[in-house]
Amino acid sequence: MSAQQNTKPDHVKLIKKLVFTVVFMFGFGFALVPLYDVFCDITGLNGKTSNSAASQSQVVDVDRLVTVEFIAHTQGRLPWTFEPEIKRIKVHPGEHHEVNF
Amino acid sequence: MTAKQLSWLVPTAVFANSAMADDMRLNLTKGVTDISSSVYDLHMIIFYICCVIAILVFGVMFYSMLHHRKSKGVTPANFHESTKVEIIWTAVPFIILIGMAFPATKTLIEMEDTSDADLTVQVTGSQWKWHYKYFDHDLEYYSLLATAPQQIANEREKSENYLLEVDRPLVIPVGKKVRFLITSDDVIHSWWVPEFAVKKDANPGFINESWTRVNEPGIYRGQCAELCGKDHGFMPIVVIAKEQGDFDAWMKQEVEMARIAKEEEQKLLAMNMSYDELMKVGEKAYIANCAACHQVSGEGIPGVFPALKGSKIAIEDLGAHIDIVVNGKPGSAMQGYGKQLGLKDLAAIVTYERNAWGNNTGDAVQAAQINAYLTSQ
Amino acid sequence: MSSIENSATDHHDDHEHHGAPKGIMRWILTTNHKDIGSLYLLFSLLMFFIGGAMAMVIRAELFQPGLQIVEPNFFNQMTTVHGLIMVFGAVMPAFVGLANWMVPMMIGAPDMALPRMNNWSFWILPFAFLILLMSLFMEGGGPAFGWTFYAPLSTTYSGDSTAFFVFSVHIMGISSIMGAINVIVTIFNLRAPGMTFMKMPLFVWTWLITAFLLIAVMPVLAGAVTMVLTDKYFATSFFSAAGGGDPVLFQHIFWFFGHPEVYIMILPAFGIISQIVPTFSRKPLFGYSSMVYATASIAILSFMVWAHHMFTTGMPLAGELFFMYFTMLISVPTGVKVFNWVATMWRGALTFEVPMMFSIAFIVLFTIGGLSGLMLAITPADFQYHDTYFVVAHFHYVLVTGAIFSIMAGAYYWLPKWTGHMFDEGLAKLHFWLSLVSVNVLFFPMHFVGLAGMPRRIPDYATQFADFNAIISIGGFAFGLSQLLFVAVVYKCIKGGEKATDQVWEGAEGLEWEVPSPAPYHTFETPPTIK
Repeated sequence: MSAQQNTKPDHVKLIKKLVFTVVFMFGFGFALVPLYDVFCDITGLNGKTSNSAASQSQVVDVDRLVTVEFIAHTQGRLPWTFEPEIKRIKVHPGEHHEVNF
Repeated sequence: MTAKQLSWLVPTAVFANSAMADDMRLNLTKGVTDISSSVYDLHMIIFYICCVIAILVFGVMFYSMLHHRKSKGVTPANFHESTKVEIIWTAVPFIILIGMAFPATKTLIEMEDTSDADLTVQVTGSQWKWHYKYFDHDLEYYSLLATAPQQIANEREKSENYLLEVDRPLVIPVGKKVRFLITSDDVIHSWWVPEFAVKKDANPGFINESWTRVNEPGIYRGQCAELCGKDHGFMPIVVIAKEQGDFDAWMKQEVEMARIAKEEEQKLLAMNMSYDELMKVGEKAYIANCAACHQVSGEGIPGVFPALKGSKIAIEDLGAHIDIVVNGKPGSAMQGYGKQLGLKDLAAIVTYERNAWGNNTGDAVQAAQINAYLTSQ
Repeated sequence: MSSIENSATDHHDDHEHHGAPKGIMRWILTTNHKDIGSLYLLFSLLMFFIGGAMAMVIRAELFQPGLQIVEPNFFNQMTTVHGLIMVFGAVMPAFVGLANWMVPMMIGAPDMALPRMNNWSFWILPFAFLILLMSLFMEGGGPAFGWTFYAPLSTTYSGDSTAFFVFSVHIMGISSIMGAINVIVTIFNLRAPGMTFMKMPLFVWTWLITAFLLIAVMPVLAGAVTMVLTDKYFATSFFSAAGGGDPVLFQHIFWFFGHPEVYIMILPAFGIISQIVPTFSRKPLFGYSSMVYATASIAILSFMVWAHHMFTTGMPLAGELFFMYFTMLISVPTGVKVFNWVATMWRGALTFEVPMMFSIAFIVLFTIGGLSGLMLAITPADFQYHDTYFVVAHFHYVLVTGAIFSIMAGAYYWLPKWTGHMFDEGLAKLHFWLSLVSVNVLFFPMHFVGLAGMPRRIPDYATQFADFNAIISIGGFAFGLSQLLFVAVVYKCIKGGEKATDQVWEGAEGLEWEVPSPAPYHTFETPPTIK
């Protein structure tokens, strides 16, 4: 039995580490929520754009033409309509345009 | 083992129902687009690679099982490693995989290129129907399962396209790049047409893109591919691909019909429909739109979908009743039908719900009342 | 923490040298690894039949097109609860049961390191499944959103039973985590002198790696169900776009748990097969160390492939490519394992007792499941396969003819050691052949209906799928009934039979074959010396 008596403190240390891992991973599960947002923010995926206005370059690049499309969708159960007035617009990068919904 | 199984299965399957044997398909469809045919090619290449691997591995194993049996008096060898062999069988699969990754990557890049579409259709899933909205035309409509409930309940013979037929299919032109913007109003659905090799999830609050360019005119059928609740198995997709000229004519006619329907509706406001007529129209519209959840009996499914029979909303305050039918109930499965149905159907449904199953309120709700409610918002 | 410490400390004081006590209290209060192993195994057998009965309901409904037996809402509950029970109630507890029985005996330990926690981790399990099964009888029925419980179907649109589902999954998770901690502590601290890591039997190795996977991902599952709970009842919006959340985020979190979970259910199976094949080949396992490294690399890669379950969710191209490449990569270490088993058999002296028959069937059929998995990894093709019966065929090949067949193989392999009797070989062979034929009649045609375009999780289908579905259902009923033979074999073996020798199988090697058959209530109280 003496061999196992010696291992007892090891048990506690190891269990502490393992329980810490469990708690850490439980936290990590929740941390995925903000991490996912951060990841999408950085890469601009999933339509998540920052709410602050982008700094504007005043130079109009007339050589390039970019098509911007607008789409709005309200779930069927909301009692209002919300639609872009124009569906698509071709702009040169740097130009100013206003589009109403 | 499986080869034996296969040879046994196929004849059984064919003889089991020879009438249906013609339709029976064992393999992935080649489809009707360039993309779907390259997907088919990818599928076949990887399938053959898998077959070769399987034959080699199982061949060695079965050889061993036949010749290295104890009953043959063999003495077992004692080798248990060989670095050379182990490196080979790690490296060879790796090389095969790299070979496989190239065509897969190429096809994938093509599939994800949604730029420069000729026509854009917004596809919206909701429990359990699809809604199509043409981006540059004034046309949008819902597409519902057209199979009769009696067929599903085995009371009537099943039609040829059982569960794969809808009342209003999506129509697109052939030879044009059609882009789909896919979203959902409630849970996640998935819009899938095998012949186009298009399967894309419809996520509520987000818009996914996909595209197709159909080569041949025809009728193509698919189904919702993501579990979306009770009637997930009953929301098919039908797409008709027409020549551009036919498509334009169809579009013109549909837009015109939508305009006429709107005019009719305005006329309706001045008319009063009789109680009997409302109940007759109402029953039909109720079964088509409401009975999936609230059931034909009006009793709902306890704990999931509330009963209308004897319910407070259906026998007391008429305004609240119209409100929930028109706008739905946020945070629940109850959709708003104000945009889905015409005034006549809405009025008839409310009338029906207030009088069927012993709800006997005697109310006859007119289209004008619904319209008054809608415009007051 | 303190209670765990106490149980570890107290254990050796009340650890008396006696045989098994009698009566029901023996089983309720037991801290003996063999008793708890038996409890786990019997529990998982019971769950296997309950989950199987649900599969029979599903197959009966799908026998013909049209709705005959159940209505769609109940059908969805059946597919959901069938999945949950088979994954968390049948496969996982069976592996924990085998670990309880065999790990201490294989490494020369007297018991599991934390015997009282062991008792707890088993005894909370029946309550978890009682809660889950009872929820089926609630008004509105049990969970009907698939075992993957994708939001928002499981949040805004789910029934009242969702809270019970969440509670039940929490308990299952706690049980698994406690079991995993126990396995790790046992393997780290209680190995007999001389039993170095690289001398451990592969079953012990695969379980060690599995236990680490469990510790890493079960808490993530707990987090996911907690978020579902708060989204549904406490107005948070983790997964609702209306509140700034994202339903796809749920799938990321779920599959971050879900893909390693798949390997949790197959790595111990690899371990079992790696024990059995050398025994009946009378030849040492080929490439022991490459087996260990392959297992470890599968475990690590399993954290980098989760989104291959989500190719159709609208991921960006870069994401799709990343997950496609890594998923393809995982087939390399898996292939190494298969090659090693075949090389072990090569030029051995093979005999074909029942455990070996199940193992060979495992190698062939699991490989078929693995190859269809490789096909599913090809993203463009996956757009066609995803959520069809092709996927159903794939994961049943790896889980039924993979995990379940390996459990059967392991059970037949060690049954004589557990009971002290040889089992009825004729009956067992009948069980094997009936299972082998029926399982293929059941799952092989699913590949075809899937490719032909039948979506999964539907209670009714278009008429062109009718013939195959009838065949599949017949295979299903036959497979279900064949499993009753297994119960008969086990029952007869417990009751009596030819006396088993200590070594049981001619070519068997390892510490577990050096103790008497049946294994005495306490083994290795003085640690053995390893050659």
